[in-house]
Amino acid sequence: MAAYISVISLRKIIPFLITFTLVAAIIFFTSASFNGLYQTAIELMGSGENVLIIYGANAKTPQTSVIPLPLYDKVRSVEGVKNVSPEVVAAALVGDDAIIVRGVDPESFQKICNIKIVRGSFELSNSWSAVIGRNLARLLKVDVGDLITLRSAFTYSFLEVKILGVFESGSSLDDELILPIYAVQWLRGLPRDAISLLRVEIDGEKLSKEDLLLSLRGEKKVEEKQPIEQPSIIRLLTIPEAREHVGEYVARSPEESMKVFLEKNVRINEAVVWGIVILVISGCILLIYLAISLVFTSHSRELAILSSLGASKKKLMSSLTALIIAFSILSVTLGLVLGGALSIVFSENSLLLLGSYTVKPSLSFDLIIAIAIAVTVISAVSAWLGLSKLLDEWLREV
Amino acid sequence: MTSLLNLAFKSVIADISKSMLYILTIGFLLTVASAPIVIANGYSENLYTMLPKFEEERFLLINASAKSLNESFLDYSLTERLVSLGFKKFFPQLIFYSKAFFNDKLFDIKVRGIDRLEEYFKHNRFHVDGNIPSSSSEVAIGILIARRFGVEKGVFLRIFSHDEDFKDFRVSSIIDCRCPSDEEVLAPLSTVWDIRPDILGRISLIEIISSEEINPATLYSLDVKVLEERSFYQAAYSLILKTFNSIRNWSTPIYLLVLTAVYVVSVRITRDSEKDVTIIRCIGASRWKIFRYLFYRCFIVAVFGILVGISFGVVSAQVIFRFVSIILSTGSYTPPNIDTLDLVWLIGFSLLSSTAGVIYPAFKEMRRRLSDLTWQLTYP
Repeated sequence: MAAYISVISLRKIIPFLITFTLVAAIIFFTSASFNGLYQTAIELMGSGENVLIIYGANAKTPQTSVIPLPLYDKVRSVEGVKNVSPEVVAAALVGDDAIIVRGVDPESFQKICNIKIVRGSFELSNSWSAVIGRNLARLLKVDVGDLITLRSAFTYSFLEVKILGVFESGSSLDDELILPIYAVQWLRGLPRDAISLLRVEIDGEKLSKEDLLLSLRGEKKVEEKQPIEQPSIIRLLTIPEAREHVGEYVARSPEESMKVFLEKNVRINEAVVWGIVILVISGCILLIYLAISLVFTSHSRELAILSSLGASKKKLMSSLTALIIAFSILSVTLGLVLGGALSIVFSENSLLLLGSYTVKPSLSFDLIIAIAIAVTVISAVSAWLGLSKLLDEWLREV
Repeated sequence: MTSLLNLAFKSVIADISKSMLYILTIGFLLTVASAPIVIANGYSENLYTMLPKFEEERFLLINASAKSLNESFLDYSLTERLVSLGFKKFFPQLIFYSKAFFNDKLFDIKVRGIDRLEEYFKHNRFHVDGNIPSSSSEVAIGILIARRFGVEKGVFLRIFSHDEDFKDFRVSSIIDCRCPSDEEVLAPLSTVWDIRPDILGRISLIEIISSEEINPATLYSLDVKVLEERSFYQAAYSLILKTFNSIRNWSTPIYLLVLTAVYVVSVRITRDSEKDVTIIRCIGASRWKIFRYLFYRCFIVAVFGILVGISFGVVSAQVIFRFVSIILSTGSYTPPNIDTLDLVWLIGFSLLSSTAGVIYPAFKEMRRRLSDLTWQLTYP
């Protein structure tokens, strides 16, 4: 076998190595980007064990839902509920850029969401104070102390806010602007007793998702806690003569809430993402075949000599296919590194966005293995077919 | 040139099966690059048509060079120019941040001075509990300030100006508007100029309510920044555009593959053309002519590849789009198509990649000696 391999000139194999590296890089870049896009959409509501999102059953997404604020007190009083964060989500314009603003009660919000302040502080004492996610701050080129003017997409409200802190959460919150809850109610056009959703942290041992929903509907009696004092921001919004809201709610995990929307309304799931990856792989098949056959045609003289010296077609084919597989593994490894780096560069420079959210590339181990196997198998099959055709042609000529 | 081009074209046609393989190699890659762009175009176009446009149009005029409202200063005389342009309903406003003192508490406030305050309240349907400030010693406060600091109607609120100076104002009313004024101190513009004499005669912005008789485009003739209010269309457009621009950005590295494909194909073509090149050289063709012949031959294949790739891309996008529309039951829709800018971008990048990919193999083949070529032809 060593004799067969020694006839291969490294110089002549360079175009093949470059082609394979690029093919693997582009395939990995595509799958990392599109899987990342899907994953970003799934994680728009955050994640976390024992965290549930309560929103209107008729709403397509938690962000577009409208539920009554008094539900907040009702949920808080259920035994087994650890923390509740009422939130309002709206879109606003900063200059020509549309961004997502989230209205929160800072006290409750920080108890559930893992927020790390990078600069400044998480202070939301009035409607002109705001904290901004790291990615959004970079995109808008703003920092602590800067003022930005928000124009509501839904109402005639415009609001100037001062950035008091920049935070990092490792989630899609990094692409959002956080304001006091009532400021986002103005931007969304909601009354003071209405919010978008409740983010609830439960004690999994004491309370289940189903029991929480049944208790909200009044269909199941669950133990009630001692009343806890409302946060100051919520006291501000409480309306003594609050309307009685009758509505159906759903409680889903953050990921599930978005997955249901994507599958039901957008009809996008992981199969669609893999469909795009397969499209790219299919587009590259002929290039892989041509690049491999180029290696063999440029070594046709050497192969002819080996054949004349008694090398069987089968032996030649198996040895050279093994060689191609070895080189494929080498270039696929390089390509995966290059593709991964490319997707990170694209993400860091906000070239891959889902609305106003930065797409974080999905660089999972499973993905790497799947792509490495796919490209290597295609190269092995192409090598076998290419070599078989070449040797048949050569034998016919002889 | 024509004869060489003709010869190159004939060579491409002569070996049609191989040429097809090369064309499809380049074409498939361009299909991969173009189909998602066309689908994205189709989706974005259909989404844009679904976006609602609100009837009433309001605009904000701020200083053209100001980065924020706090930095924006306009001369009040601008209102006269608005009147001359035919605008009737507009509200000049001055906004500044200060501190207030009440009940032993010092707190931050936002003060908004508005010209024709009563008309402004009426137009925005503010719920006013009390009397609208009428004298220069009265202000209205937002309901959230009232609740947070226990300020009631009739009490006096001390408002500080920028230089530690202060003035006491009677709270004549409490505003509830479900808007930013819920946390503001509101007063007539003249009262606010009394608090801040350093900016007398200046305003931060003008809020304009446009009517059917006036063309809002005339606002753009003023030397100010014009911002649309309730700009749902603009916000949605921006979000859709950003998402679908990501598809365009994703497709950019695919041109590297196109370049590689054209290179590999060109190397294969130069190998296939060895016989032709040797004969042409033997009958006296110069090396430059050989280069041109090979360049034309490879380039013709590349151009066919580009045409096939983009056509496949558009056709497959249409098929996928229609298929998805049936699944989603979207009803009537505009079928996707490639827009001129994307077409220019695709062709431009592909041609650039193709030219780069063709030059080296053609150049390398041109430099080969005639003796090598004849030897190769005799003993392949």
